[in-house]
Amino acid sequence: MGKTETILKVKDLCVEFNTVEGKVNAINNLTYSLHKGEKLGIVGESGSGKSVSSLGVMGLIPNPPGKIVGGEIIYKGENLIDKTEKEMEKIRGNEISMIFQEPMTSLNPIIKCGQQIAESLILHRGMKKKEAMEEAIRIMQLVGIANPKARAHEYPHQMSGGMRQRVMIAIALACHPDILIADEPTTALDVTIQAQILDLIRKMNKELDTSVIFITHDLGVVSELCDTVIVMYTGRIVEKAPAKELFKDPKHPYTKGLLSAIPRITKERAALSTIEGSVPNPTEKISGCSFSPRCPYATDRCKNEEPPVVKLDESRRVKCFQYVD
Amino acid sequence: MERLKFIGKRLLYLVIMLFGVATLVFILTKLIPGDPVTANLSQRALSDESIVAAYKAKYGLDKPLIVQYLLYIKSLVTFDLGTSIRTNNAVLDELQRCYPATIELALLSIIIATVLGIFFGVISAIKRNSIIDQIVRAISVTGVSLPSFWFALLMLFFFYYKLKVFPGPGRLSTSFSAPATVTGLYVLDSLLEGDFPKALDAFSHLILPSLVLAAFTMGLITRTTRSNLLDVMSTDYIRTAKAKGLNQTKLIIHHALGNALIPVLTVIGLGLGNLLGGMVLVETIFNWPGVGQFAYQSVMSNDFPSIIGVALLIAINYMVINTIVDILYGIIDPRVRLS
Repeated sequence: MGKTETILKVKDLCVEFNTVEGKVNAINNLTYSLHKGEKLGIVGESGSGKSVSSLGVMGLIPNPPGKIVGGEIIYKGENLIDKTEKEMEKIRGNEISMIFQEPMTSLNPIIKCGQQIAESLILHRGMKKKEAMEEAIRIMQLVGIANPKARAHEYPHQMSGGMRQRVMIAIALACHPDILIADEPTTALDVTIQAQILDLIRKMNKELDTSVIFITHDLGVVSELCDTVIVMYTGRIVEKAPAKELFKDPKHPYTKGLLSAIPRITKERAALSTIEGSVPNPTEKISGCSFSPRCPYATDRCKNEEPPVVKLDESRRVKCFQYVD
Repeated sequence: MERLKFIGKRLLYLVIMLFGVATLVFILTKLIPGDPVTANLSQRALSDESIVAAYKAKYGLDKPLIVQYLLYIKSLVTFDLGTSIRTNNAVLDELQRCYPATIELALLSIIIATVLGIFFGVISAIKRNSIIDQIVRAISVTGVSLPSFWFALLMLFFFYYKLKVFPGPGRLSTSFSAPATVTGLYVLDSLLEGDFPKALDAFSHLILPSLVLAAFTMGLITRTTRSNLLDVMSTDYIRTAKAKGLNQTKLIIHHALGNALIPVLTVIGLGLGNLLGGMVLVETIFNWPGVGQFAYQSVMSNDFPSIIGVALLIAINYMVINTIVDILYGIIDPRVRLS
């Protein structure tokens, strides 16, 4: 990776939310890039800003209360933040698509599944109703829905969670987007169904050459699927590395903590290790490194100064004073 | 097929409910104090036992309660509601005379209330918390809380007496004679006669009372539409639709409105049921010969058969409308149809 064409470049993205308790910086100076065909994992706990960052790319941050206050999102050489709503509508679902966490509620209950897929095709491809429906059935087959002709005429409540997530993927991929953003698409599903959905995303990535941004809190899923991983904490990237290297040799104390918190079957039964403390309340202002209150290696410097992003090699970055020479 | 089965089931429920209501009305008439014999015969006739016996025999009052009940159900099945004591006409004929006037008024009112209510509701949901939303809120709250008789008098005062843009009370100007009865709806019957000016005149008579009656239901529909649309707009499936690249208009029309209007249907149904029962005050002020006026006159003269007739009519209205609303629910929402 890294040699191929960069398709999406997020630079210094800052997102603010207005809450009753005041302004919250949900995303702070987020910078990353996505290459063609790459599968990028964004990992973090709830509230780390991983979902907001992807909604930002889609131009779907609910406003109010949220607002992009700085940075750039460069897609095909153009800054998406400067685009009008009308221009974004042409990109959404067509060039950049998204699937969500809750397959049970993410489909319109009163519209047949086939129609919900066909709608994208009618909208972006200008297909006629009948033609779009035929194509929708073909896509349903592609995403592994058995008997798609009959199922296209079913309503969401007649399908299982796994099937609905396949329909969601079919909607997202209907127009062969360049980028698929998957926001915890397997969290609400059974483990066996999870594996099937991951396989499907992998297959689609390969066959359609769609780049994937995979957002999750599940490190196991990331290790199975992704090429590159970004670890987020309090709206900041704390570490970025190729997936294999990250799991073999985590650098940031937070990543280390996350990895040691994964239960292992091979280990003797012992208390699960956890990271001390909890994610700080977003309204709380922490001076220095935002992880320092929980970090076992924190020094006085960590508590007063924000650590820089250290470039370890061509593909690895870490935001920690430990690696500043 | 699945839809037909659903509709069939609803219609069967309707028949069962109608039977239940008829039974209930029968029991009520037997429970309330007051004897039809003393109510209807003169003092002199009452002292003559043969007349009392003959009267009882004529109306089956000498038979056991269960037989009376069966006779009552039989007469209902044959659409015989008895004779009005006040007018000496068959109650069914009386209802046939006054019900179309109420239907005409209720239909126009509910159309106005629905169109304006949904329009205002959608606008205020889209422009939530803006000045437009505030204005719409003021209009709908006013509509719900205005006493109808007072609003009716105001409308007559301004639009009839002062501005003279709309005609006064009644269904038709005195220069026209009533159209031949086909449907009983004057506008429709005039059109069927080919008398366009008369239809226009009948229609202009409808406007003021319809607006007055529409105000309340419109307010309710506006508020319900607004709150439901706001709920729906924050659902996950709307987020999905946005992620698909739909614009605001398509989003609302194709994805949000269908879901948001399901509860609004109930409000429209209740509103229509309410209007079809006749609005006594407004019909009296506008001198509208509808069910409300008939009910009022019947009550004032202790005309029991007519009162029962009106009660049954109102109950049937609600049941039929509820059944239609149920069926519409099923057509819009597949989850209702299948469960």
